[in-house]
Amino acid sequence: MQELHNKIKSILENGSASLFIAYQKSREGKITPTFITKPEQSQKAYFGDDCKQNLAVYIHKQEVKNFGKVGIFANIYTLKSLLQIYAENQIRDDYLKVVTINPNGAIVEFANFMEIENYVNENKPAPNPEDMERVEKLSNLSREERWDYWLNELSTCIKCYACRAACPMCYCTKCTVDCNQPQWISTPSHSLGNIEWHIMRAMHLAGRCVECNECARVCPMDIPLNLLTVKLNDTANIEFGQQAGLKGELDYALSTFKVDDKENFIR
Amino acid sequence: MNYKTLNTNKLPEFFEKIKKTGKTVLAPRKKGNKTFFATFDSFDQINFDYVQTALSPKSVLFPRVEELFTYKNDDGTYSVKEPELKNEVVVFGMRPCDGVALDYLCDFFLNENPDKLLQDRKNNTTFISLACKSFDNDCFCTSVGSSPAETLGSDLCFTDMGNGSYYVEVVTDKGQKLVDAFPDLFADTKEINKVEQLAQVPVRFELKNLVPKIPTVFETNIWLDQSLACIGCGACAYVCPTCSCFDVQDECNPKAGTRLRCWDSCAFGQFTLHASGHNPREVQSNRWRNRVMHKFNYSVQNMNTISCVGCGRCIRVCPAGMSIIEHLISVEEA
Amino acid sequence: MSNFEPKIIAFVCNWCTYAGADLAGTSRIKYAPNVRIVRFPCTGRIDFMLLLKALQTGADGIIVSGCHPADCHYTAGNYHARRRWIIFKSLLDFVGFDTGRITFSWVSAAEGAKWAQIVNETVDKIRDLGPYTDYSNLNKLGVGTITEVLNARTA
Repeated sequence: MQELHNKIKSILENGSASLFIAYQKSREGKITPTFITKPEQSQKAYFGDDCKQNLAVYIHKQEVKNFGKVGIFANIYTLKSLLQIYAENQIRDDYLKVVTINPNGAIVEFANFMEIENYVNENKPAPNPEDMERVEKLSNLSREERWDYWLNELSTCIKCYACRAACPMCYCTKCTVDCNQPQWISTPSHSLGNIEWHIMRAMHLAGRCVECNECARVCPMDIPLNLLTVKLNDTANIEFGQQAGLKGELDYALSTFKVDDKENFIR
Repeated sequence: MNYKTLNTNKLPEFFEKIKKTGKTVLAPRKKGNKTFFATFDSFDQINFDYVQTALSPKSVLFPRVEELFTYKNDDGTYSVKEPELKNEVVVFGMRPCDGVALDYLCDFFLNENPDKLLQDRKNNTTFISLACKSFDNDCFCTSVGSSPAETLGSDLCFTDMGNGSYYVEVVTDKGQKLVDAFPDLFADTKEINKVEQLAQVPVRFELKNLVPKIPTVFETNIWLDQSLACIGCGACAYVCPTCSCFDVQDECNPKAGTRLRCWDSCAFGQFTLHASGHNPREVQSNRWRNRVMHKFNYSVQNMNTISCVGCGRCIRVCPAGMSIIEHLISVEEA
Repeated sequence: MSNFEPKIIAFVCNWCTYAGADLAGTSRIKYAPNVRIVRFPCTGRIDFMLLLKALQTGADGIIVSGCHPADCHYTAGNYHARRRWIIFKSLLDFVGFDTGRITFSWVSAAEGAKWAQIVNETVDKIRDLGPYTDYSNLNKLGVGTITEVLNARTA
């Protein structure tokens, strides 16, 4: 931990960032993000397996951008998100200082996104077996059973949009659900509005989701939302061989095509 | 106030009997790690092991979506229909702080321009609170002027006395009616000191110092410091038992339509967005300041009470782990 | 259900399938009148939300049709659309929509007869399947409660 504190301290001191985003642990053991602006506050930073929140979400925030250069302590999913966001041209190399702790416990500071790309590919997290199992289980149900399952789950959505807010890939300044001319999605949280919203959300994240599972973690209603995007990532991988968060260059399944893409379902 | 006792092993019978009268019983049930109010079917589904439910009982009076009216156009003849609310509900297992919140909510909706729908729902619902035997780090009712012994806003208040019986405080006429309907279940008793049975929630800040202090820090950086972690979802407002903001949506086609009232949250950028594109609460710190100011200043000005009951739901639900307790302490110390 | 007449919405591109449908008309080829055609500049322009809106407003079946591969008026719109449909179909399947009610096809400006055949076959198929109400009934369902989820889980 001392090494991490020193690293943050030196980054803030030498001016390579004026704000450093990391995790902290409260006296009660709660993990929350912390925003360090002074070198002497560096010892607030904490890291452990319990640091789940995807901090990449903060780099889109106006009040964070106002600080200018930002440093960020990233777990592996945050790294994947940052790489994907970079590939989508949403951040510049020179405005972000990224630090992580590798599996051997050593601090790694990345000079650029090329290094992040190499690191992420060397330390790729395996797909969550539990999620894969649940996707598989649902896929094996009958169509009607699947419909009942999702109708039940999604109908309880209260539309707090925590899934959208917590997702680093949901960075649009105006979301489709906020458009009212035309009103694509009914905003009330009744069954129709909820299913429209979650289908739209999943489609817009298909092949872009880095599977950090923040959407499911933050859901006040405990809806397993991540299964939708996990399923679509799986489809994108099987059909087009594309995976999100592993390349610094844009490789988004729906922004490109191959002449010989599957066509057996088209008459 | 009247006082009764109920044998704890008579509780299933109590629920079954209410159900037989055609009323819906809402009781705590577990989904994953969280507890929600769900329709009672059988007693073994009820979960008693919870500090606080994930959602507050406010949705019983103020649902997240509700129909205000529907209309029809039959070739130029218009007809409007308002909903008729007849379903009678008994809510069991809310906490005393929720009662205080319901009292505030009713004050808000029923005082100046009474809201008919909310009034009907209130008349049709009996709220039974179950006094807290335990608390967690996010509970702070005692800091905002309430406590696990509070009975305000509840119709009946149950306290598990640890001796195989519930001590029942009959707070309102509605509560009395429910008790009177099942005379064989409830026995008369005198007022009992229940405090020993209840959770001792520590006081985290001094409300009388805090309330006058809050408007004085309005222009400071404290809001930005506190809200940098805020990601701008509406979870805190939606789980809050006193948040009463709503949005009205029309869903219609040329033949028919519905006007709906839906929850809204001041944490959303769109909440204050003007048609011109200007947004007076441009960044998240402005929105966070509004939330805290509303709870501890604006509602004091407008309704003579703070509108936070210390249930701690916003802290438990926050994706970024923000804690209003810590924020209020930092205001107090500022 | 013997007198059930399916409502089919066809989302077609201007340059190939719409012209193909036109050709079917000028060639006086008779086909089922159950289809309502919506014309788009290109299949690449057909947003997945439009398909949902069609189902919501009472469509029993959907046809999405455009230019054959390598024939797109805008070079590659149909290739992009094809990918979108693969992903969207996978999502709809996973959520439990009846994706058998959506027909994807390539119909060129010269294929009036193929267009008529696609429409007829789709109408026959949907007539057998009956009305599709899973999605259009949603707006009658109102607000879902946690009770329904919990009861479904324990069932």
